[in-house]
Amino acid sequence: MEFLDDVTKLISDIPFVEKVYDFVEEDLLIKGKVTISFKELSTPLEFVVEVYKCYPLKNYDSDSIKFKNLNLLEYRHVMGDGAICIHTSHHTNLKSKLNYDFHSLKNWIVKYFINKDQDDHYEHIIVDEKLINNQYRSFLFTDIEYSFEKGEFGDVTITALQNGGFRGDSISNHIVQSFIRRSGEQLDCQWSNLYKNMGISYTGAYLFIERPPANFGKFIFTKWSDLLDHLPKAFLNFLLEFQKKFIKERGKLFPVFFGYKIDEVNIHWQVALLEIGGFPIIGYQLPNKEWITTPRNELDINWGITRNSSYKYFFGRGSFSQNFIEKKILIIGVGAIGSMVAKTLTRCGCKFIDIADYDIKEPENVCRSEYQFNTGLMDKTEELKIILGTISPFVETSIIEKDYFQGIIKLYHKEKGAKSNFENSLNQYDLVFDCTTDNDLMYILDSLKIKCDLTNLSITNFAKELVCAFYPNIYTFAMNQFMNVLENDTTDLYKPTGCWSPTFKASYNDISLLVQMAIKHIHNLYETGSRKNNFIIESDSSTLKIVEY
Amino acid sequence: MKLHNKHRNVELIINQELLEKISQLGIDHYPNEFGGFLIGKYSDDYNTLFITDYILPKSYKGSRSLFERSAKGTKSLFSKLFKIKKEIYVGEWHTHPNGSTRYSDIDLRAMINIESSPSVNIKNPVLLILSVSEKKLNQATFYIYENKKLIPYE
Amino acid sequence: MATDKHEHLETVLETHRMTHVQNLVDKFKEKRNEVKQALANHYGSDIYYPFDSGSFKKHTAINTKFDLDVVVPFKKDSFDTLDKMFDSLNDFLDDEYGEIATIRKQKVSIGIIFDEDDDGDVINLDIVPGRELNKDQYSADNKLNLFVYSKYGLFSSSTYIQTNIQAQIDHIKAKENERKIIRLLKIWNNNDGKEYKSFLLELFTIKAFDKEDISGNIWEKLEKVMEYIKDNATKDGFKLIDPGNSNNDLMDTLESWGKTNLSNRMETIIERINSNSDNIKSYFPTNKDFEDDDKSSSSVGYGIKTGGTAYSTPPKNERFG
Repeated sequence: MEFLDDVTKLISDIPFVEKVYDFVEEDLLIKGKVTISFKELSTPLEFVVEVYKCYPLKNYDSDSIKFKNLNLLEYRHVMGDGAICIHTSHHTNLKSKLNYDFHSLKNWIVKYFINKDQDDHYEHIIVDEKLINNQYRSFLFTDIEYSFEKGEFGDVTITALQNGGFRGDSISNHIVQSFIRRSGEQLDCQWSNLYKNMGISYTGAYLFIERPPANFGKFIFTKWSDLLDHLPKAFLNFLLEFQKKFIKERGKLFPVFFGYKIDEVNIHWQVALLEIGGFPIIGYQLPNKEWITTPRNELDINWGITRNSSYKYFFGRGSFSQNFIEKKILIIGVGAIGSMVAKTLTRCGCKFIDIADYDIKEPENVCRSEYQFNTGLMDKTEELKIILGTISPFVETSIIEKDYFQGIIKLYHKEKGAKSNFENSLNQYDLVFDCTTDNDLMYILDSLKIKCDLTNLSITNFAKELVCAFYPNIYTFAMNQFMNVLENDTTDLYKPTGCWSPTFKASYNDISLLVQMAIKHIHNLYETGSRKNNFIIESDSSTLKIVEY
Repeated sequence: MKLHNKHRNVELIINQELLEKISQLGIDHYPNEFGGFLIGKYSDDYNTLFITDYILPKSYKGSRSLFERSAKGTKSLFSKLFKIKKEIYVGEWHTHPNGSTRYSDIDLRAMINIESSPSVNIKNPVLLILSVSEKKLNQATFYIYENKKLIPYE
Repeated sequence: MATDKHEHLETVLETHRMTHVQNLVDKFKEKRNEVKQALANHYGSDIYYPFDSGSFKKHTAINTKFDLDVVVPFKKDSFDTLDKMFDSLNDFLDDEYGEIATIRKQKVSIGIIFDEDDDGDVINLDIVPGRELNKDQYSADNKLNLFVYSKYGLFSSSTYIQTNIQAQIDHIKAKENERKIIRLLKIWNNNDGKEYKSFLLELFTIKAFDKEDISGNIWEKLEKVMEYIKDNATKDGFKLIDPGNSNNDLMDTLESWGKTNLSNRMETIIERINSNSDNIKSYFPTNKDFEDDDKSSSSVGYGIKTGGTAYSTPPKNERFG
């Protein structure tokens, strides 16, 4: 009883709370009503208040106090159960927290109820993500280069991704590949080729309805009757035909995507899952043989889950600058350093990353690179291409002929005309990273006359320093650093069993720390347009220091 | 006799008896030039060369100012020497009758050929030039070959 | 391992001497003379005899990057306009060498880049046409008007520049100390992005020697010149007057960020070299192609070829003299 008493007492002390009543204690919470009244509010507002017993702490990640009023559904930031979304903050003191939260409620009232403020940013409509036939189903979509007319419809092709667990049940995940207009025109989603080239698992349908299928602009329709005005006759006939044609597959789910604009340029899709044989339509044949199809309004709509995975959303939380992500990048040598560079650039939104290496990934490479054990032995480039593709659906990666850099270039670099061939092939890129630690290759590349930016990355034994050199001052600088300036102790290299060449000793943690710092600095040089001075990153147990040359 | 070459900081050791034997062969062929191969071994740290023996060519042409030798027929000798005594070919010797011990352009060219020959695995072969007259040895100078140059021992 | 900076710089200069590439230089000179003769034959009395300029003439050439410059002094009456002179020279060279070379218009010259020969060498000549400023006065005053070619065509602000190439050559005459520093700065620039004109570095060096007490060993001299560049590159009102034209300030060829960059570069280089003398090798590298093998690593002990046979057999026939 103590909690109940404390809370009600403290709430009554809040000046703009006019009445506090009907508070009772339940298992997990206490519940009652309050009336809010202040000068700017013409008539007082009543809210149901629920305070969970963990209050003032949060319940998982959500607020442990709720203010509900089902009459306010039309206003911004009100959930389907009438709960107001308010900004809360962390407090451990009951009184402070109650004061803060009630003031947040008051702020909401002023901003959205009284002033009817419409935020600039779009708020997604609220969909109750339901289990359908004991499984969740998600559909990820991205941008396409075309726009849709209201009422247009057609086929949708879909590729299944992996299944997995989701909120304690199973989920099947999918990507939307393309929208096929009735004219046959195919509008492809802008995924990378890796995804575009995956097989089509099945098809669905789409209908562009232009406006969100939602009440108050935010609560998704629940019955087919809500959608009635949006369903053109031709579309209903299309569904009828489809069901007839595939009636043998009775019981299978058929996704129907409803598209609408969320602003002038962007569109969003919601997906309804229809069961073949149980489509919410009835077809009649008129005496003149014409078919009429009408929806079965009383049925519930089974909404699946959709997510906008377009580039803008995918990298919305952080990426490299626009200028950098558009660069055509080549990484030569994808061992420890190269694979980290590739993966980091991919996660930072880079769109074109080609890779070159002749080497095989062995189990012993896994511990300090981005490779995986479960793929066994594999060409490093083959595996990295898959890894990059599984991270980002927007990165295009090609594998350069494995012998090109460390074999062919070395064999032929003295031949007449060969250099200009190499130069042309490198000039297709904006930015080339040489992470091979191959002095011969470094020598040859540095002697070419290239227009692209060439950056060489290497580290000393025990990852004490990272050496970064920029074309055209790579070879002399890097060699001098390793031979003379840095104390590169090579008496204690790691020598794998057998006849392989020894390699430096350092852990994933040692190397990635330096590589991340180097990439950050390099990106910064591009962003600020500063002169690209060669640099060394010196590390010890507590500091990293960039020394520019 | 112990000689030193400052340039590469190396030593060459040859006993007096052997040098006298070689000299006598040169005097015997006076007034024509004569010569042969030098045999020896390196110390473990490669800083000292011991000249232990010589081999005479099976065919040669000697005139007053030219000596041309052939290595024909000596191949098995070098392999036997290596197998039995671990001694190897380390250089050349020839006489300059009535001349100085300074090397000629022809001598240098010959040493360049020798060092660059694929059958030769040493980088610093030595050249011994003996200045001889009818009766006696006037002077003997050892040179070390390095990178197209011949540098004398002291 | 510390590096003796003075000794190192001497080696840098030694290994960059033109004599190391004498064969190539000879080829250049042969081509140059051929072109000079062809120009004399073609233009006859329209020109004074072409003469050599550039780094060769000034003795500041380095063997890692060089071309030969030829100045063609046209007589005042030879062409109505400087662009006609420029085009005529371009057309002539194209007719004459277009099949075996790339001919291209450059800022004040026509470049001839001969196709790679069988040795893989590429001969590069820059032919600078100039028209005497005052009729029949060239022999006396050496003054020429150069045409300034702009790829961007009609809107270029200046289409000619007055100069006195002979005065530029004389400016560096008999200045051996300066030349060494100029060569070193060119070696640095050539190795570090080639951002600066050699002529700019040349004038900077001469002015530093002129204004400051530049003395000591070669590193000390170089350091003082670099300090001078660092301190003055960004200074308001600092000028580097072209000895061939007092209206031409070479500092105007740098944008303000270029001046800042140059000053920063000098500061960083001095700082790095002073913090670790080995760093001097990064900025002022030797030309490895001509480094004396005697001084390289395996200079002691009797050498054995790697991967050779266990014992040697002497080559078949050898002659001794």
